[in-house]
Amino acid sequence: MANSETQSLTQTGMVEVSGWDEDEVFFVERSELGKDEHAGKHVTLKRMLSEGAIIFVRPIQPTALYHANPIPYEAEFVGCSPEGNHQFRLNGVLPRHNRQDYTVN
Amino acid sequence: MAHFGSNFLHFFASSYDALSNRLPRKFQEHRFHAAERVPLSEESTLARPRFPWLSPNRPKEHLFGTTVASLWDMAYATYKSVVVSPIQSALTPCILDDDPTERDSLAHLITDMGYEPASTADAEEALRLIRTGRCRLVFASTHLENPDPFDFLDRALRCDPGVHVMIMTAQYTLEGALEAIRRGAADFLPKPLDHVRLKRTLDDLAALYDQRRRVRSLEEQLLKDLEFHGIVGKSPAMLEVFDFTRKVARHYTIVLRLCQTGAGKELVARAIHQISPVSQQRLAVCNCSAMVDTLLESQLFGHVRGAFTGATDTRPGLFEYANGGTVFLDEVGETSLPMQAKLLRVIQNREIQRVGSPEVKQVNVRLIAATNRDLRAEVLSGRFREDLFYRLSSIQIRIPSLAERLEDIPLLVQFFLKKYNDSYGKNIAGLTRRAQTVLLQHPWPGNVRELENVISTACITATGDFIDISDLPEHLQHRSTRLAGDEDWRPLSLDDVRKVHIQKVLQMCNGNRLRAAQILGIGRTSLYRYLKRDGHDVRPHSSGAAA
Repeated sequence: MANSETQSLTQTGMVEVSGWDEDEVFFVERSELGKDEHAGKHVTLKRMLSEGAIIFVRPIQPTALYHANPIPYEAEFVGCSPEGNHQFRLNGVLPRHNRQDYTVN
Repeated sequence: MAHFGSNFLHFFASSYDALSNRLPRKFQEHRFHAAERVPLSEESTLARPRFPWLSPNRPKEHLFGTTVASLWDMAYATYKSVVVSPIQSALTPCILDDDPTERDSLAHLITDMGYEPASTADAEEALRLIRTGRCRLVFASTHLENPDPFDFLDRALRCDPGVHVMIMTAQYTLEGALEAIRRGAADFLPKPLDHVRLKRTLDDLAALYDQRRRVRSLEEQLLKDLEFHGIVGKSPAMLEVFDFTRKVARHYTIVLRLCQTGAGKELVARAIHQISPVSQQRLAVCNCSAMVDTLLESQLFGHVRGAFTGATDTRPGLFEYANGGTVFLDEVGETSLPMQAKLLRVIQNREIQRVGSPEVKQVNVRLIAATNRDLRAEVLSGRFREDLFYRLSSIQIRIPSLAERLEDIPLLVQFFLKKYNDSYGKNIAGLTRRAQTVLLQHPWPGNVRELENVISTACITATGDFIDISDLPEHLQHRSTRLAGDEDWRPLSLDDVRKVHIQKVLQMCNGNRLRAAQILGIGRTSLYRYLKRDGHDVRPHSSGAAA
């Protein structure tokens, strides 16, 4: 089964982040994908996101042979940078497979 | 062939009706009713004859004389080659009744009709069968006490909005029937059940599911046929883009593409490169808005060791990397004036200079540039060099936004469903009707990228066979309620919307058809075709002709 952890994004670098912000407005932002042992993968965005928002991260690779696919992540707010931007940790998303595991809304 | 087969079957059925009236009573019991005619399907086979008297192995003396028997043999042979049958196998009705006698009686009846029912007295078991997709049709009795049949109906529809729930009752009232239908029941059947009506209902549903399977198979084929190098579209606007792209790809040296963000700029750039004569060479993609000037210059032209702090080695730029191939400059409208001067030098003289090096190198690249800005307005405001604009805009391709080609949404949805089914290991068949309606009503400010994100999110969230409204992002779930307040909205057909919209745009452009066609994102020929279809005079106007 594929999920965000098994699909690419193994390197840091420039990425394109898209999704819906806390005002439910669709956005596309470019950002630097960071990665360290403690914080895991993280990005900095100008916009604030809702709690548990799903965002899509696509690596921008100038010499890639193929168009990279956007990878879904759950964004977890970490804090604000000194410039006032918002930092988010990227948590892998697992697709749901069994309805009984979740409440039906 | 299908038409012939259909006519033949009608003839066969009516001939049989006429002949079988003259048979003894015991043979009339197997009468082939018109309602039992089955739809044609390529995939099904006559695995088990539905009519034993039609079997080729039956003794000929069973019938009356060789003439009639020969007719049956011919009919059977043709029937076997053209028709296809067992629609019943696709449908497993679930009987939910806590009265064992009635449950067993209905189960026997349905079995006699050629279907294999699943019987239970437990509502949870019935819901499990719905959830797992085993049953798409449920006969729920009003005998049920826990839960109440209407509660069961609500829960069943939450599990699978496409499930057909038939409520059976001994106390039929018109109010009860209307209430059941209003809450989503497929039918409200009085007990004792009318056998003919029951059979017709089962056959209709089996045929419906068979039809859906065939439609899905055709749609998959259509998707394959309409995919253009990873870009999907069947709208006239997109077909024109594909056509123009095919033509220019062989000859271009510089192409400027105008489109909104998320409309698929990189995909079109890759398509142009793939069908160009230099497809075997490299394609380099550079997003000009993602970098500051110094970094962009280094990325495009390269640098030598020691050219700036951190330049620890000599590196070629993208123009050198893609020498002989194509460079795609995305968001070229975001570049600064000094960078525009350097790009102009590459275009005019075909030469580059690495940062920190006096050496001038010749390069031979094809250039594709894209922007979502109005470059003409940028030139007028002094933010974009006029000479670079004219150099870039010798060939322009305008990619319509998703809002301008709503008819492509079903095809795109199917394309992304296939992609994310494979990616997430799912088997989602499609969207419910109400979810489709929501997608068609959304303005799509983020274009195809937003649609892709919506489908990807829904594929992660959905656990059933179909994506419903509750699987879509939250703001889309509330979209229908927001639309209710829009007083100007009327339920028009797409043709009417197109007609009204074209007239409004033409009025805005004072009748200039070339300008109107540009705004509408279609060619002038297409605009003339639409005007002619809508009954307008298509002779050239002075303003339109001059344009």
